[in-house]
Amino acid sequence: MKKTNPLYHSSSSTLANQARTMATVKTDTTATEPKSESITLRVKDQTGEETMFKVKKTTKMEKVFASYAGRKGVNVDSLRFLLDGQRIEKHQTSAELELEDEDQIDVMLEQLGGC
Amino acid sequence: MSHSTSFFTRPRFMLRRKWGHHDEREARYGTKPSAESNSSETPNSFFRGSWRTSTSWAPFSQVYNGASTSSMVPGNEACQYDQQDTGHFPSSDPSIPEATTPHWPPSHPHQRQTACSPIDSNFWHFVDRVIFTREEVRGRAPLIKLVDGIRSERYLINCYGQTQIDKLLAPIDTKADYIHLPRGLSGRPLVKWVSMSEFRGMCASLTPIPSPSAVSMGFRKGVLAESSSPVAGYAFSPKRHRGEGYSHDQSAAPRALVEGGDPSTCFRESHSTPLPPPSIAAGINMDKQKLLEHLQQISDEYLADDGATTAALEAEARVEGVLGGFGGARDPLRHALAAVEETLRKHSAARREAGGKDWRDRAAEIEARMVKDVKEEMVRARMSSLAPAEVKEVHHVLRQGKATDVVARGFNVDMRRQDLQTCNPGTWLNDEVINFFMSLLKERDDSFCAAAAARGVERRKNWFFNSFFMSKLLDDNNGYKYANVRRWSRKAGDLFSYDKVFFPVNIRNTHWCLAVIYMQEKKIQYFDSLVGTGREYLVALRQYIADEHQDKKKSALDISDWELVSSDRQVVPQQGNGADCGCFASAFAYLLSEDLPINYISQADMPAFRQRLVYSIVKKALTWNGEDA
Repeated sequence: MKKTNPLYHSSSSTLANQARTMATVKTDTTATEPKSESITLRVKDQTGEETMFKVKKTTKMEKVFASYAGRKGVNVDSLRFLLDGQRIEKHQTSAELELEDEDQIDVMLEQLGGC
Repeated sequence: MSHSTSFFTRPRFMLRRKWGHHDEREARYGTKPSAESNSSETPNSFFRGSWRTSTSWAPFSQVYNGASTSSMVPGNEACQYDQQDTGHFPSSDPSIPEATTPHWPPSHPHQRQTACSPIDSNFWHFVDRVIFTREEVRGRAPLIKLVDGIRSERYLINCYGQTQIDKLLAPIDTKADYIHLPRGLSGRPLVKWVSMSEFRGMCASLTPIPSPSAVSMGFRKGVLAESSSPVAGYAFSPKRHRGEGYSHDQSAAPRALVEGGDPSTCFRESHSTPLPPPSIAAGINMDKQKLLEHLQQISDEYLADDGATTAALEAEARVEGVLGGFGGARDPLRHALAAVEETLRKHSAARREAGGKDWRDRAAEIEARMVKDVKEEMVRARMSSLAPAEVKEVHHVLRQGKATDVVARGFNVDMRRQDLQTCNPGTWLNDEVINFFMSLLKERDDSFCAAAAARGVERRKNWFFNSFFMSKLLDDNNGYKYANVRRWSRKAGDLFSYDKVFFPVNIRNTHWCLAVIYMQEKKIQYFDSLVGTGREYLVALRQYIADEHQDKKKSALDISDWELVSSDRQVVPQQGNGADCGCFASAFAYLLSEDLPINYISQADMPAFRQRLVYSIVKKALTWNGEDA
């Protein structure tokens, strides 16, 4: 995961916005359901960096996870996606999660500890 | 040494895990266990002595009459002299042959190891397990009742589980030679679960075929003061515990010298050889001069601290009176001695009424101790190792199959084998395990609350945040940031209505700790199994509840009276390696969420606890010894 300067991100969220990147998750259903409502999700990592995903409400979150992990170059198994502190399951969709436009998803890295 | 007992104890190596059946022994030794099988030739008697020091105990009356007073007065010559003089506990019943009374004190070191006081050899044995003879089983219902009297049913059910309680209270087949008590949850027999100190009290208060209600009531009203705890000479009579054909003269047996001693000494687990009590009855076998000294000593003890001259003189007079009539038969002497004891007791009571402790205070104190013991046993049960079949299952889950297989599913998490494998010994736990366990605790807590509500008791809930909360709240990069977790309590609702809120804390991806907010007590405590104090986390959490209050309740919270309790390495159990902090943090939450103390656990419990973690995650239930939480 990209390490960012803490000073840079500690000031405000507007600065963090500059780090936003846009991405659209393509779905198989594009052709069959062109009118399906799509929303933008903000995936925010531990450093405050946000990645935007445009997804359909019927899209399984699995796709978002895989896409995010691919962009960051990490194993999806080592990422934990949270909505309001609750884990999101792979097979859930935005509709099931009652996600709305511009909603934020937190992504955390696997945590270990022993000593 | 000879015994006239009617039970056997199983060799240690056969007992290590579980209660077997005595048929195992039959197969092994080709002997059918019977009441007469305890001759010294059987392999049994070898093991019989192995309870020795760790479980040495004295009956209640002995403790009260003897250990307490003798510990109060150093150099209790009369008493010691008596031991050497007679060579064994004086038996008040001449009909009992000398041979049945083990020699005391043991003269040879080896004998010392294997010898037990007469009462032990004829009654209960504490080895790893106890098998009860039919006489002994009679004490069972009162045992339960007694514990029941100590604490509410909730404790019992929490400790044993409902099914065990039902089993225990079920009618007993007294025709059976041996009865297997259901295992206590700690894998030890029930009576072991009943703590030593309690058990002493039980032994003293249980007369053969007691009325259960009388016993339990007896404790409630202060069994210590009111039970028919006999004079010591009587208490040491082995016959008392044979169950059959025993009767004793209540009038001749004065009440126990309960008030005489300091309760703390009553509950000390004495590892040294127990002293016979300096009770008056012990003087039966003494000659006149010794008896005089003995009696004077006793009266001194009773009257020492206030120097009440009148009472002292009165007592002296009584002593003299008794001595005047000395030389008659033993029985009248016993009556006379009892009368003296009674007088002294009265004086003692009167003195205490004037300005000392009420027996109720003492009963409360003892009850508190018993509760403490009960809690320790509860902790032991919860930290006990799994049964072999369960261990096998754990090994199977950890070793068989692909690392990415999902082995448990729940709480929106797919637990993979590779995550569970972090529970392997010496491995660092990962967040999946910790958080899954927290969810299990939450689930268990809900069931506790439901059970409490069913009984009409109010129990405040606990809330368990996951380990990401702290990482978000106190970001390594950004510092404290409430906005990150503002919405995280949405599912919990009003955090301030909870009893405790648990926060597993991951420190820089290397260390696990636990922070707990005691909402009702206004206290935030941090538990670190490796030295740290957690000051920064405590401060952050205090700020969090202030912000949370402001955000959710729209009013400022006065945080000035919130107490922050840093982790103290003297108080919090410390890990002995560089891998088990996750286990400790989980175990702290596991126990604290049930209001159990954490100070009984140690590094030695952790290997078993790792297996328990795996097992409970795979089963999605927190169990111990097959008993549902």
